[in-house]
Amino acid sequence: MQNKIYIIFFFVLLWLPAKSQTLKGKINTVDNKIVSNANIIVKDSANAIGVKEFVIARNGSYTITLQKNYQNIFVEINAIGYTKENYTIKNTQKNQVYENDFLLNKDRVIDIAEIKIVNKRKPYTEANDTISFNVSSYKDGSDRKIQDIIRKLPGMEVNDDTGEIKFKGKPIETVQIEGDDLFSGNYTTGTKNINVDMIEQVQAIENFSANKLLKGLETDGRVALNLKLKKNITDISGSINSAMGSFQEKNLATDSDVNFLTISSKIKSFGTLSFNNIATNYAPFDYFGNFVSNTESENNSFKARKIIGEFSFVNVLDNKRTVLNNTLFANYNILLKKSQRTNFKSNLYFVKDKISALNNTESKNTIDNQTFETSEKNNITKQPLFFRADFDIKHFDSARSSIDYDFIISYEKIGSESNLLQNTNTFFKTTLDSKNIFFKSKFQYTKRISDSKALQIMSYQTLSDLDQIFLRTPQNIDLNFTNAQQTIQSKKMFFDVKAILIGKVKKAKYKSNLGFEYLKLPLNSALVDLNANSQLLSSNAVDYSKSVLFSKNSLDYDWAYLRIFSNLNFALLSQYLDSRKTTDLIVEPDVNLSYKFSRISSINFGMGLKVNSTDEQYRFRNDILVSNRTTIKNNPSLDLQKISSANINYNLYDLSKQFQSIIGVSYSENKGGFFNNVNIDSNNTRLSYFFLNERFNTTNFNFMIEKYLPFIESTIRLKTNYTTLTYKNFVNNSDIRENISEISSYEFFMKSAFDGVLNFENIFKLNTFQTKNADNQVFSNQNINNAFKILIKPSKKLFSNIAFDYFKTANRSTYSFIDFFINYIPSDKRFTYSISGQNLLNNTDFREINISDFYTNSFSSNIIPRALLFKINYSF
Amino acid sequence: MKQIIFLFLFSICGRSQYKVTYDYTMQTNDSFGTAKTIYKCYLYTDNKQSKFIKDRVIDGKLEQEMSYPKPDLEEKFKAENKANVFGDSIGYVVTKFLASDSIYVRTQGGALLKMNIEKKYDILNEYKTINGYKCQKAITKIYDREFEVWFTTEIPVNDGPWKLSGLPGLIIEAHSKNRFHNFYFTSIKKLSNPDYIYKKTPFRIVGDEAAIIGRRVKSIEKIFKYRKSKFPNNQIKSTIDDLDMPKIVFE
Repeated sequence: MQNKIYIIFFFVLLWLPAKSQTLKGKINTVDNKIVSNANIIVKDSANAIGVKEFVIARNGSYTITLQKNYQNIFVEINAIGYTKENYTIKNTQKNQVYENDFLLNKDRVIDIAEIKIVNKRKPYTEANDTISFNVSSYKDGSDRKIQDIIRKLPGMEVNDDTGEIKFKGKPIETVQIEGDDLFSGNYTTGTKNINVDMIEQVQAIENFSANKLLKGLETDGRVALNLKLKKNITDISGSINSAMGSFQEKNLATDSDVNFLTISSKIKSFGTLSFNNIATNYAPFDYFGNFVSNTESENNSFKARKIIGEFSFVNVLDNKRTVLNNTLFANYNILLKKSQRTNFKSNLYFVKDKISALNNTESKNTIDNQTFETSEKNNITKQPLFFRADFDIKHFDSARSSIDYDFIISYEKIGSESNLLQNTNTFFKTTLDSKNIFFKSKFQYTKRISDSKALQIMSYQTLSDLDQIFLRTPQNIDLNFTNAQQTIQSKKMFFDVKAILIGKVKKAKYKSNLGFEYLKLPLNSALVDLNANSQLLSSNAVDYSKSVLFSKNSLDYDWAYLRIFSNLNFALLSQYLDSRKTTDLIVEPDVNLSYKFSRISSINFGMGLKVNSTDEQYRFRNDILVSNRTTIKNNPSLDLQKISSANINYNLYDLSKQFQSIIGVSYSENKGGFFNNVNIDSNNTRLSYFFLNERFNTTNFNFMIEKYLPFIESTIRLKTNYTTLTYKNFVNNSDIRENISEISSYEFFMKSAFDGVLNFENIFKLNTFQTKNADNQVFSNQNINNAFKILIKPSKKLFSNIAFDYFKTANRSTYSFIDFFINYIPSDKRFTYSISGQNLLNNTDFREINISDFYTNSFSSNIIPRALLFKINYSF
Repeated sequence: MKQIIFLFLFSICGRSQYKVTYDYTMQTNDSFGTAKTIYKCYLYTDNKQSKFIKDRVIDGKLEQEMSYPKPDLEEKFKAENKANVFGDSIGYVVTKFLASDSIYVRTQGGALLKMNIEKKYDILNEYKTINGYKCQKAITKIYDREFEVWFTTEIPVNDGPWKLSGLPGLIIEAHSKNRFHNFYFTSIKKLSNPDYIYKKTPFRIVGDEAAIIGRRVKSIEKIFKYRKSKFPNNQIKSTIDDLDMPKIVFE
């Protein structure tokens, strides 16, 4: 026991002095100011990595009584803004107080103003339903407008013709700016015109709900994009882009635009004004190829349909090479937040253009084993003039109800002129003037009845007034051709009102519409011979109307992994055509199943039935002249067309592994439809349409796989699409002919992502077409396109690319194009300079082959000549 | 290189303000497995006073991401969270006066609580590199819960996430012993405006910490007693393992 007491006493003696070493001192700057905050760190040697003990010294002095006994003590002082100082005490004594003052020097290092982020920024972040893509991570120097970036984002697709965007295969509803839907449905105005430098992030929002009162009630799966602006984009920002250059024939080539964005707490606006003659379409309306976006397609469904179509420029070449244009486009969008509850919005559009083309068409027709050829040389100009104003007012009369009123007025006038030589012996001049005035008004009231229920009342009222005058003037005296004038006056008036109940019960979401719609479509036409005292050759006075009483119901049941979405629509359709009347009860069911294997992959299956009343273009009985050689007439019918369809597809989208894949098959069968009887000779084509209760079908298979392969630092994509369709027709009063068309396309894409100066991109496309008619005659064609691009980035300031484009359109027609682009960003980033060259090999025309079940058509059009452009962009 | 830049960054002036971001991840276990919620957190500090912000709400979105082992329940919880969150809110704010060690906490509900939390650190000879910073381990206890704390003297700021501070360098990572509560450093940057942290944090009422804890304990106790009465023969256990109060187990 006594021994134990001695041992304890001995250790206490050892321990006591260890507790008693004390370090103290003052901390001042060399100019004798107190350092208010510093860390005194005690280590057991100068080389030690870790802290043994410490004290935080405030107010210019420190005292630390050490917990342990150290033979040597290394004391370090560390204070923000001052250099590190230290001292060492060797062979320390127990119970000793060591005093040492510090005099600190200000750190001599120059201020580094910029932020240091420690973690490497990921190119995207995922949170809840939103994926945010950092724009800077996807820039490569060639990007001008935000659409150029969106095109490169994983999972996004941008339609080259319309600018429409799809995310994970779903079309997006809108593009917002900082959470506000400034552009309404015409979001391409924004994506085609907003400069890439203004945007910090592109956010893809899944399960988007445009009406916030319906949040949580609407069916999931809608997608929208939000553009997050850079922090320095405040008040007014914008850019002026001006490109000047010359075409090979020394005409001025230009592509200039001004755009601006204003942001304040109450007003958000975006405006753009552009002019170009290098076939760039900044507008959401397409007068080059007449491609129509989904939003415009909805508006167009309310417009009277043109019986005589304007010339459109569609071929396998990019529009950028084929359209000779002079496009002036102006647009202004403003959103005014009058109060917390009331928003006004207006979108104004103006387009003026002059588009020209020189075409050469040669057709080889094979009918009843007889072959004859026709040809046309056509010099066309088309001058559209378009103005549209959209107004929208949204008012929340309480936190649970809102009133939304939209109004659209538009005016469109298109004058087309063509000088053509038919079959190398007959000259024609034709003119077509189309004028369309359109009003649309939409009223929508939404009331959130409870957390699980909402009611909407909605009504459309629209009016479209269309006049067309077509003149065919033979330039040489030929009794076969009259000096003909075709006039068409048509209107489309539409009214509907519907009540919609939207709600959810546990996992089920439902939507039920009950409503009524009325449509009236009067059409008058007259074809007169101007040489024969305006003798009336043909006329139509069509009075068509329809009324529909409908109930549309949908149910969406979601078990997280399995989702069933079904529709069941009923309609009582009454149609009136002149003195005839029919009434039909229509039932349209469809069901879609979606099974999620995981967060990144799912399989979807759908099938359904649709019933359509016949298209308005088949409602006139007598001839209408639609081109220098073609007349159309119909045997009108009020019969209905039934379309049954089924599809199955598998989607995989793994952003983290940069892997996506889609595989799908779809089948649709139409029962009933208008079939044409084509009467064709070397001078005229007469089409007559009549309704037959025949079946025809379409089968489609598509597959896409895209993956980034780290070992070759490249992304590869393989895309195939195969469609087979059966259709029936009559040619020169033959028996009914059954035809089968097969269309397939293959695309192989590869793009490198090397860290060095050089990168490469290659896209190979192969399209094949084949049609087989009842006589086992086969018409086939294929075209090949390979686009190879070298991307060169010697520094952050300089970027250039050289593109080689190769086309093979028929056995003997091959074309090569070389383009280049050089972009320079100086230290003053407000400016960028670029030089671009297009069609350096100066190809003058482009020939392609089109086929049908009775002809092979060789079509050539002139293309934009060699052009050089110097461009300056200034951002403010 | 990073360290050199930081040395530059911190050697400018003492009044500089830094924004440090952390991810706070909270893990809980139940019969379905492990649930995890990640909260975005921001520390604004000038080494004298600081604001630590969690549960911020912007445009009706709470800055947190939750994953739950059962997908349907996860959807349900997310939907419930969404339904309860609207507008903008600064969320949960810890204001620290580093010299006096006094702390003011603004709760998510807008109550302001004043507290003094004594922290004693045991510094250990364990080291690791986190995000390029050489860090040393220390142990402390808050609300009787042991925390493993990793700090770096390369950033001589005596601050850290939540109520943690008072080490001779910035706290880069912290974990409760059971790893239910974890703070992970994600970024740091210098801010040009040093006044932000001196702006008053809005609050609705001055609250009483003991009363708030008492109410929380009572509500869980009530549920526990109800379950116990329903299933008297079952072994029922309820645990409150909230960050801002001691761990309490009902058995």
